[in-house]
Amino acid sequence: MTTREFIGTVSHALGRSTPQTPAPLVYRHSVQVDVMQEYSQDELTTAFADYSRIIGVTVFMTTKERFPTTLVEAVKSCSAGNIVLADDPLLNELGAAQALSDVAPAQVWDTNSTWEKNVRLAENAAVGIAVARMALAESATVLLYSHGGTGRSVTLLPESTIYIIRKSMIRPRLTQGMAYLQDHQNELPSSVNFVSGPSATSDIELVRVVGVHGPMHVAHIIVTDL
Amino acid sequence: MNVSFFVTCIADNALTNIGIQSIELLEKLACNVVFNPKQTCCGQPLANTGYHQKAKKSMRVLIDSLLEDECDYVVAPSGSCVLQVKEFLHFFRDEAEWAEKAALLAEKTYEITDFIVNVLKVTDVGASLNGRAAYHPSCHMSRLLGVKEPPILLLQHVKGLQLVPFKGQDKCCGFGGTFAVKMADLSGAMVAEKVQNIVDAGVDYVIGADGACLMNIEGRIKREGHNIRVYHIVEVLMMR
Amino acid sequence: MSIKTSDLSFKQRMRKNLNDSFMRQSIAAAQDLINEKRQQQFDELGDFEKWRELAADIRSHVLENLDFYLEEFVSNAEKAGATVRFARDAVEANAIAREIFCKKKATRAVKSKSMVTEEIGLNEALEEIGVQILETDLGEYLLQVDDKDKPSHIVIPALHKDRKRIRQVLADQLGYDGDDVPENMTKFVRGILRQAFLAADIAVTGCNFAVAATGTIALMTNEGNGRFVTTIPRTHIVFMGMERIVPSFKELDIMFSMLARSGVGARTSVYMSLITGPKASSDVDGPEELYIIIVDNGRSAVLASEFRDVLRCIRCGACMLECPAYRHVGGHAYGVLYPGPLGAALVPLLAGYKEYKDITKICSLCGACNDVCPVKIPLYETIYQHRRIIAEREKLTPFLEDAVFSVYGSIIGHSRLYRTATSMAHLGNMAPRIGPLKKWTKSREMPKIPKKRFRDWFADRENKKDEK
Repeated sequence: MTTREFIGTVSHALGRSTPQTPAPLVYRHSVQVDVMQEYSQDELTTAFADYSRIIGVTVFMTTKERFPTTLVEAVKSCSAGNIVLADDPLLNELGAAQALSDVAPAQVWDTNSTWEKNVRLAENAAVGIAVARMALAESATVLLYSHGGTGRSVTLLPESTIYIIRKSMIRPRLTQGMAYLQDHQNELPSSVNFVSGPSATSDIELVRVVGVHGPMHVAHIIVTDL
Repeated sequence: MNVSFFVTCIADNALTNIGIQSIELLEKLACNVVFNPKQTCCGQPLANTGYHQKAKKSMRVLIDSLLEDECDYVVAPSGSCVLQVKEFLHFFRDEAEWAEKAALLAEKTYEITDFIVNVLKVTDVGASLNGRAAYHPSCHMSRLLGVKEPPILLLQHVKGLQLVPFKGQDKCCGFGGTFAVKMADLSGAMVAEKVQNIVDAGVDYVIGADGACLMNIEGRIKREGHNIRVYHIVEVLMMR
Repeated sequence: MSIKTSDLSFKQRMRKNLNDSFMRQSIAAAQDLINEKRQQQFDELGDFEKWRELAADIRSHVLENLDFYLEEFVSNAEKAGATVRFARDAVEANAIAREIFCKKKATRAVKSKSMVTEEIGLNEALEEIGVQILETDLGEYLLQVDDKDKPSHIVIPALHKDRKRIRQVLADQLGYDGDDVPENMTKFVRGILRQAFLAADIAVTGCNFAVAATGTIALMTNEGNGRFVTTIPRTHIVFMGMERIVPSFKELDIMFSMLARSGVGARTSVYMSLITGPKASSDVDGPEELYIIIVDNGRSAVLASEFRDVLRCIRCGACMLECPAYRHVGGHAYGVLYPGPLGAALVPLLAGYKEYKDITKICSLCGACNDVCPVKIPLYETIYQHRRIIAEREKLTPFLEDAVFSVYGSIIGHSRLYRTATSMAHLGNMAPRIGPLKKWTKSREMPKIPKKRFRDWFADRENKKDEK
């Protein structure tokens, strides 16, 4: 069936022969924009951190300067083993790889290497580290672009994930996350994820169990002067 | 104020005290009540089962009988039947004359507690009854007709009466008209749970504003042999 | 699977499930728990009515302009590198899937929970050509290994199973020798499924929403299987019900906010994966090919009908969790993929009144579903209208019932007949408990019909007044 045939069927069902440009969609309310609108950046940060803890995320607050120490501390809170880092300019700037050199074998996702090597790297790692584009206070969600140096596997295959969050990029809720995507929709990567805490299920007797397919443990490092 | 009383078939033939107490109550509140004996049933059992055409004859009879005396208001002791009356106009979309009459009737028809609170502006009718009571808000009345507050307001003013919230209070009792016989086992399971929740609340009375639901709940209470009295709200409002 | 999930008759299904006390307890507990959480979430969010008005407006707008938005979506998805195909019905959809599997010589597939693939019976269609397709949602997986048991809820498919049963299934089918603690059983399944993910040739997913402005597919999961299947396998096939569209990310915000809260009473699902085309050349992992199969399967007929609003549905399952009838019979009693009020409203439209008329009876017309639907589908009104169509247009009700109601209609349609008939109603007190009376009295007592009707009392009183 061709696109034209299919769309034609739908048009027909709507009582016309071809699609017509819709009248604009009018929003009767602005409830989504109103959430946490009056919050200061500090209040948003507190709300984000608080809800992160509620959903079982370990939260660290740090500064650029103290970041290496905090990262080591965060890694120690995770499952022991190899580490895979996203190839992200911010992680370089903050000296992540160097900080971890004494703690555990840490390797960076390598876009010049093969699929097999990279996926193996992530599969064998206990901890994955990546940088969030944005964080959402209401639901303790991070917005993650999974592309290039931040391979999809980095934050999925290891048992633990550490997200680095710029305090200045903490926003009220999904509304702002979606607005960000809309503003940047011409350079949208093939995989974008909103992630709120560790993988979970309630499929057996509605008992919440953490860690089904994705990470069992998640840490948020909030860098307050970024 | 002239009120034409729509008794509903259940209160006309089975739970007659609901009709009697409604009249007494309305008269006590200074209404001049007329009862037109040509009235039959709102046809809801038919319509809810899908037989809209078969139901229309009774709707016409009811429309004419309730409009005949040209009263200011039509009042009935059942949210469900009032809902049905208010829906009549949808059945007569293609019959202008009847649609007009149906609209007129819909406009002046009130469920009795709604009428007392919102038209007569009375919340304390001077009733008293000692004990703990569970109020069952019938689905059609509370959810679909939207009459939620008036019965509560009236009961709150009954001296000596304590309203006790209970689990699943706003859930359907399982009556559902012909549902209760067409799906008798399911309906039975629903009313059994409703009654269990009422029993667990440790009350002396169950009070409702729809005879059909009360007949269902009382039927189950009697089957299980509990010492809980079932009252329609008008019966309570006439207690001194 | 397909829309039909049971070969038992309606009566058999009702009896079986009403007698299944474990299932009934599980459903009741789930309803109580999730409904409370949902209520909390919406109380906390505030303005539920406004939120759902927005959501309903968005869905209606999309449906009214579905041809336009589908065209936009297809164009943008193709620009992003996806291959878009169209299927009029289940047969066409499955044929396209088989064609892709054959072309790729693929034999192993992993699937992330998807209602539309269940609707078209994809698993069976692929198994017929030798493909092993594994469900990766834990609940769906547990059903699949239990001899393809059927889901009883659209969001929590294994709601009817307890931990003991699950332990037994894992032991019998997969050699599990641990205890029945959910954590331990989950960990066991995690190990098995991880190997399956890594070995799979093709990933199959549904699509919660599709963004027209960018050609993006949005997948919501809590377990992460939606992310997994879109990370490792080299080919990704998306099955998308044609009405899943939102115009842009702005609307996706509203829809997602409602779906997570309505579905499981959570502020958000753990993951929302937004897939726009296959991986870029600069990306290392992710599928190299992305197919999007857009499925009609009866939807355009619903779109053209008076019941268009039913297509607003976002498959959250709130209506079934609120439904007092579903509470006592569970999902299996409906014998269809979509149970509860949604099923009673949607299934007769998608698959015909003749075969599915009975599910419209599993409803006391209490209207509770309407109150919780996040997109304001008039479920009550739809079921009510279905009953009319079944009785009057399709003439599918039993002859005896029709005859009885004709008589009843005549009696209440004539004042004098009614008066005469009701004057004898009290004789019914002595009537044998057969037919409707038998059904009623199985669970409860009959009220005693008094000899003196209300109207007799009223007439007496008027007479006395006159005498005075």
